[in-house]
Amino acid sequence: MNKVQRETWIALLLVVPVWAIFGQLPVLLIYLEGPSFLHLFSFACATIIGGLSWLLLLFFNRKRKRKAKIEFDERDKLILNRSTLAGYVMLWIYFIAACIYVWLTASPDRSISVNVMPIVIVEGIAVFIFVQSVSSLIQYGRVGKNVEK
Amino acid sequence: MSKSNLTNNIRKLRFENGQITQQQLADKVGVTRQTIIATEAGKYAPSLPLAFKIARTFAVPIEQVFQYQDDDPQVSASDTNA
Repeated sequence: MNKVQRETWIALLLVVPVWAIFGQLPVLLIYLEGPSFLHLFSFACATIIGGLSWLLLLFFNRKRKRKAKIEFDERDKLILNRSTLAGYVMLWIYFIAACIYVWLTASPDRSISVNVMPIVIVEGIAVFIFVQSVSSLIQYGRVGKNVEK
Repeated sequence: MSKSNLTNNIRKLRFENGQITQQQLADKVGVTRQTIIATEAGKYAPSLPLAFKIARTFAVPIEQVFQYQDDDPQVSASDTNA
């Protein structure tokens, strides 16, 4: 398993659930209990930390001592490009589906809750990371067959 | 990564050249071991520079490492005539 695969598994198993749950929790609390400083502050913290978590990963990678071993090459770049495209396509489909859903479920006076926008955005990011990760792992496939110890 | 018409003799050449491992070959040509594994298995078609690097590592012409089977018989025939 190389660096990109490792990061993809982390994104799939850790970032997506944490982002989807903790990004939505404050929105749900605001919806149920009304806006308060604590709820808004926790929403801001969750989105800032979630959104900037990739920068932390970048920072730690840079700090770690680089070994001579190559960890990223042309195949990884190709897989990353394709999976990013797949993530983008799915994000766009999700966004259209979310808009249609909102239109169909709007209240009789044609108004929608202000909670809809953060939910759509936060879940959209989770969808993007999820699809990108799954797409990457599918493209890497099972390589164990031809591996030599 | 879809299977292409590209076949290769990397595995054979590795054993003929002092049984170098996939990791050693990967280090020599500057890619990850996974890329060598995928290329050997025919699951990944390497870029032209990488193909040349692999061929030069074994000190053989590129045609000896990679072979391309074209599905279109007309193209194959014109290649042969040329």
